[in-house]
Amino acid sequence: MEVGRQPWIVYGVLRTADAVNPAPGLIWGAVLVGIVYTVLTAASVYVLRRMARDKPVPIAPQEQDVTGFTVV
Amino acid sequence: MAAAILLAVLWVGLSAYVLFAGADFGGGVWDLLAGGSERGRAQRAQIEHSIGPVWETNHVWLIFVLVVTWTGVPAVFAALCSTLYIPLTLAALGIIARGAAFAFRKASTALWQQRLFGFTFAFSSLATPFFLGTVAGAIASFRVPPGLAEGDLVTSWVNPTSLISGALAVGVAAYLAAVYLTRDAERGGHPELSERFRRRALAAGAVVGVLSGGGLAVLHADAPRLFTELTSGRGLPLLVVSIAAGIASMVLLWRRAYVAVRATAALAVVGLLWGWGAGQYPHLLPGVDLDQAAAADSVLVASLASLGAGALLLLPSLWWLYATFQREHAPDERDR
Repeated sequence: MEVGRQPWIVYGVLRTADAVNPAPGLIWGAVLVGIVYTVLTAASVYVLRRMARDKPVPIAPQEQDVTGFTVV
Repeated sequence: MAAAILLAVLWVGLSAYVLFAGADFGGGVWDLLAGGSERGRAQRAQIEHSIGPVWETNHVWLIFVLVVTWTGVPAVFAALCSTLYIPLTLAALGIIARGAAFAFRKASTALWQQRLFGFTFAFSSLATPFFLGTVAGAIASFRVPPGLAEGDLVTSWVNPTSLISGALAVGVAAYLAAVYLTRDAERGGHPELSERFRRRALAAGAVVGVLSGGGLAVLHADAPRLFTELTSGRGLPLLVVSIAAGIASMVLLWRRAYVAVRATAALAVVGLLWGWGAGQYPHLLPGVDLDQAAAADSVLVASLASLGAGALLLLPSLWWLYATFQREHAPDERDR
């Protein structure tokens, strides 16, 4: 749907190109978000794999269930 | 009339965000200042225990504020987001990094991982309210003109009023967190921890008091119109309430009345927020008042009606959530 309605942001009323924030430098925000999400994706995969391998934790663990996961 | 009501509802949402999510950010600030891994362990455990069940929920208020702003005063929303995209993007990244790191820290076992995620969580807890505070300062000092990205992208939020309100936002967050944590620690059966948070609450209260005074001095020079309204106009009664509640909070903390101080500390913060709101009303941006910026009446009425219906669902749920985690329970081994 998002792709189907392009180039309109409001169909038939406002084009996406006319709705974009005209401020300079927006690309850096996008780059930053890209980097953050790349790191988060890698960290998620790593943590999930570890959790699956090392220690079975209950679904929706309560704090008292998670012994051995000490808080720093 | 509908516009003024919606603006008031927006300010209620903002107050809730500051009181609840603000305290969660503050918890992260104390996590940052808790000391080394060994020394800070008990404090970090208490902070995690207190904010763990509620911090995600508390962010509904940010979404609420955003949605009400863009439906109620869309042109103002566009002006704010386009000119202030730098601090807003940084705040958004802070919120993302904070949530992710908080969850990852819970799930990681190695000390270095816990330290890395812990630091990310704690640092973004400090940075996020600062950037949100600079946004408030930009609005309060009328540095965001109407239109898309018409304001200066840097000086709109790097200026005296923004910097002091950024610092004030961090201070208020830390103060509220320390006040709430004294009671949580006491209820959990950790009197020594409660004592530690009490000292921090007293210190943070003093810092917030000084910052508020400094903020007024900055407003005098940098945003004279708001200063006049706050010190001799509509904002004055609310400012007086805030100051009185702030002083009462210090006395209550001193006397260890940890439940009562929650109410007065919240009142002090809310008084400051509403003093600002009342002092600035009805001017939203330079040259733009509420009646020019408000959406059509049909939109406002429909929004208010759906907010009312939504509140019927949301408020009891929130009440239940907080009541569940604030219930009295005897200290036992599981909490240690």
